[in-house]
Amino acid sequence: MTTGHTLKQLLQNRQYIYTPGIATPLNAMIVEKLGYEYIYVGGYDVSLTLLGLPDVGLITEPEMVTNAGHIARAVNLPVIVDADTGYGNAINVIRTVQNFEKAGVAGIHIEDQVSPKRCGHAAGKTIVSLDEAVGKMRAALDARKSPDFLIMGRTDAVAAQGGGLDEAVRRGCEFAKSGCDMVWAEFPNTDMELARDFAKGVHEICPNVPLYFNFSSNLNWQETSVTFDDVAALGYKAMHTSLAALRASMVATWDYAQDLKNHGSAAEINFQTHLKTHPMGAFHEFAGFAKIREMEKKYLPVEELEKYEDTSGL
Amino acid sequence: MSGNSAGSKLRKLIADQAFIPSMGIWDAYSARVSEASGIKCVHLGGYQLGAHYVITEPLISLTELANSTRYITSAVDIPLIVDAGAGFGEPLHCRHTVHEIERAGAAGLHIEDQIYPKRVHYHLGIEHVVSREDFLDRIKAAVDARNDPDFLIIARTDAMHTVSYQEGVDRANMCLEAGADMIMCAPDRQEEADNAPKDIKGHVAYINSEGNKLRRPLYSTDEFEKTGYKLATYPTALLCPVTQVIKQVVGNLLKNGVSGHDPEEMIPQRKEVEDLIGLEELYKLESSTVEK
Repeated sequence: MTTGHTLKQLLQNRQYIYTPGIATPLNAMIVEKLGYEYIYVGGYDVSLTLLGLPDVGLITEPEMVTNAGHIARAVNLPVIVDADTGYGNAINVIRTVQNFEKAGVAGIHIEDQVSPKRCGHAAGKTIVSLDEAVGKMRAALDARKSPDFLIMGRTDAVAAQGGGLDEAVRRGCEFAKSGCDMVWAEFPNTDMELARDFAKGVHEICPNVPLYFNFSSNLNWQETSVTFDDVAALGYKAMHTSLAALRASMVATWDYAQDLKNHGSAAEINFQTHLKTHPMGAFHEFAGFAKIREMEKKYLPVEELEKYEDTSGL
Repeated sequence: MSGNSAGSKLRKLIADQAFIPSMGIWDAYSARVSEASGIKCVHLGGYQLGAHYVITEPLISLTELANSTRYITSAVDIPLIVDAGAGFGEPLHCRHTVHEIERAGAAGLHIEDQIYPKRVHYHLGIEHVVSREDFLDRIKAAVDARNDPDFLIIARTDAMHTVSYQEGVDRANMCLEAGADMIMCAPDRQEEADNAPKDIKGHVAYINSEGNKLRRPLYSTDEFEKTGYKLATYPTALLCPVTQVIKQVVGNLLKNGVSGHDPEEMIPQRKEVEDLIGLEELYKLESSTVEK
């Protein structure tokens, strides 16, 4: 059974699913360990984490695909990956879909921004025509080998030049009619009326298409009382908090490095104490060294294993 | 010319030679064999690289282009010019492209005024160009982005074909004023091709596209020099014949049961391949260490 199939079953069987947005295989392993049911890999996250570059369409398809393949290998969960605009026009989209599917992820989302794109919450977004956007979705759907590989159509029309909510609804419906497995609209603020009207508008015409929601970290949720349940009640089946692992690891790395700068070895000692009681403290075990030892016993000649005698280490 | 960089080597060639033929290659081996045969400059064209990966040029990403560049520049000492297509987007993507290709060891690159993403039907001679302003912004960003001032920025215009000869000449001269080191162009007619080096006020490179459906003019190296061109690329000169050789040998094998090569002739030919990839030096290292 493919992970795409698992994902589609989850969407059918759960009221809704959510996950923190991540960038790397290690992030994904931690999310899996905590019992989440799917992985979401964001373009902003990968661009900044792996390349140190902002999310303005500089990261390439092979860079995203290589990383996505590592993530798919590292976990047993369905992985959804941000494929931006599909890295060009409809023809580029075909190769993008083929490569992501080969990399073993469960699905990707493709958006209707003009390529090269900007972050979904950046100013100055422009979108391609409805015809061109639908053409890209059709190209993506035709290019997949397995019907279980999830193709999600994302529209950035709500906040883009020449867009608006009505245009977003129109695009959401057209994406669904063209066969997209899921539809997502980027919203510029926490106004739940937008999210409600979008869901309502799309579901009036295409009642069965599952909707995706970005509980974006760029929006000020602390000024609202919106919960995941509230979002799900509007008709959204899956959602992630964006840039989750990115922000958490930036803060954790900063705090550690700042502490080390201020207190030298004492900071490392304090950190070790903290790790002793932290679930991630046994990170060598988490990394899988013990499993490798087991496999060595199973597959390597006995004399090879003698290397462990009288040595110390992990 | 500030040093020993790939860009400096290319600038030295430009200063020393009236005309530079830059052979169109697609991988480290085709570059190495060209170098060993005496060529002084190689060109990684999108046409060849698109064929090499069998995905066509418009689908090549910057990652693949930079990887191929790294392999080639590791394999040869002569300068490599890289076809960076439309620069992979807007000025900020052109900037990133220059960073990546320069770091990969190229001597220079060319960025053109076609739209991004490029379309496959440019192979049919149907191209679309961006506005003068957008093109100039790309070239300025590329010029500003280079780390080594000797890294060559070549502005390629396709406007002679899509708009008019004069539009191409105007764009060329604007790019030179904006800091481009050389212009690459593809005039359609003999008269235009003969005039371009005079009408363009700087170094001009020509795409000597043998096999071109539009029958664009072709020149010999002597003719290039006389006409005033500084450099020419040869996108199909190796790729087409290599294709024919593969077809012939595979055909022989399937039809006659043997490749058709003379076994005696193959011995020196195989030795030549091994010398070209530098096996002798590696044998020496092994004999003095692990195979002592």
